[in-house]
Amino acid sequence: MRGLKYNFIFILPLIVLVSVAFSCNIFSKKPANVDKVDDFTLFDYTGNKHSLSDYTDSTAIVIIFIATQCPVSNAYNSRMESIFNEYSEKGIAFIGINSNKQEDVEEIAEHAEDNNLTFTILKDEKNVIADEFAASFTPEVYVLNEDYNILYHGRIDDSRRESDVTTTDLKDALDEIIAGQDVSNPETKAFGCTIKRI
Amino acid sequence: MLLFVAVFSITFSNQPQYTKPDKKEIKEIGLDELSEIINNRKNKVLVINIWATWCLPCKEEFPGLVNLSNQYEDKIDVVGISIDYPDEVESKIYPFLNKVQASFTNYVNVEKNAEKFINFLNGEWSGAIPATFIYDINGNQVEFFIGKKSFEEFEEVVLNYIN
Repeated sequence: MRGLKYNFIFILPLIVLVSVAFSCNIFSKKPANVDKVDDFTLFDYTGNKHSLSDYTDSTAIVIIFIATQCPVSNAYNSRMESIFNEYSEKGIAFIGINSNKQEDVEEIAEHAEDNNLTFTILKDEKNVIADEFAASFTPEVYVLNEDYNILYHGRIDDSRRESDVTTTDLKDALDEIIAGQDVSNPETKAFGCTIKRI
Repeated sequence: MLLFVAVFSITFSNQPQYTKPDKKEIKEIGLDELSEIINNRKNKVLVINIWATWCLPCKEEFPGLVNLSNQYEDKIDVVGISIDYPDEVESKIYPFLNKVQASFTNYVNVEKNAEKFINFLNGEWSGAIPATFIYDINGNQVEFFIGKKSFEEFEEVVLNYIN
């Protein structure tokens, strides 16, 4: 009886641990559905502080999770800069966020200079903000309204190769927002590089 | 000397035979062919890995898949699907597969609608790669992982579905 009691003491925590591990599906990172985020503050690569609340006067806020080493994100460098230039004149705020653990502030600054990226790029140390958005790849886009509701989530367009693009999803969403319409295709998908988390 | 030869022979006779991948064997795959592979389970678990030569963690993960395929050849089908462009088979896909000695079946995706491809495999998948999908012997998807995994992590999961 004593042996049974002792076995139970050891086995019960094991059963609980195994149950928790399987219920959490520890091997799968399935993104949660996020439709709103909270205000946050991060530093850009020049050391300036930026909060989402700094941009609430904009028609919408574009957040793009980007990378310095991801070839897909890099394939979009000139397209991102072009969309920033075009839509900042139309009242859209444009912010890049780098959440990759292995890409530090110096690398981000050098990458921005080398690729002529002039929009704000923030460093998300310890991927706290990527976690809040449930962002999983680069380049992954979120468009927010002034209440930080997510109006659009997904890709910039439908092809890594610019010559093969057939749908300009981010631009289409922004045009609809500027026109005061609902975004007709608010959720899109594309292949991208996994965000390297801590 | 005899002992060395004997040990050498035993060691290498137990190594799985590496068959150099044939460029022609890296076939194009669309959703119809993918569906056929998933449904055509011959009492074997299926591991589908989505990767690309531009994806560093995919390349780092690949030797673990090669090992998995070699060790469980009779019980697991490992299938690699590259999402590089079909015109990159010769210049990028084949040299990498040859380098890592991947003798399991490999394809290049030709479904142009990435979203359709992503949702076909799992609606909850964002499109981040590497991504790996495990199917049981009945063709039911039982697990999927996003991000780089080790041989041990793959093995731990796959063993749950091997008879």
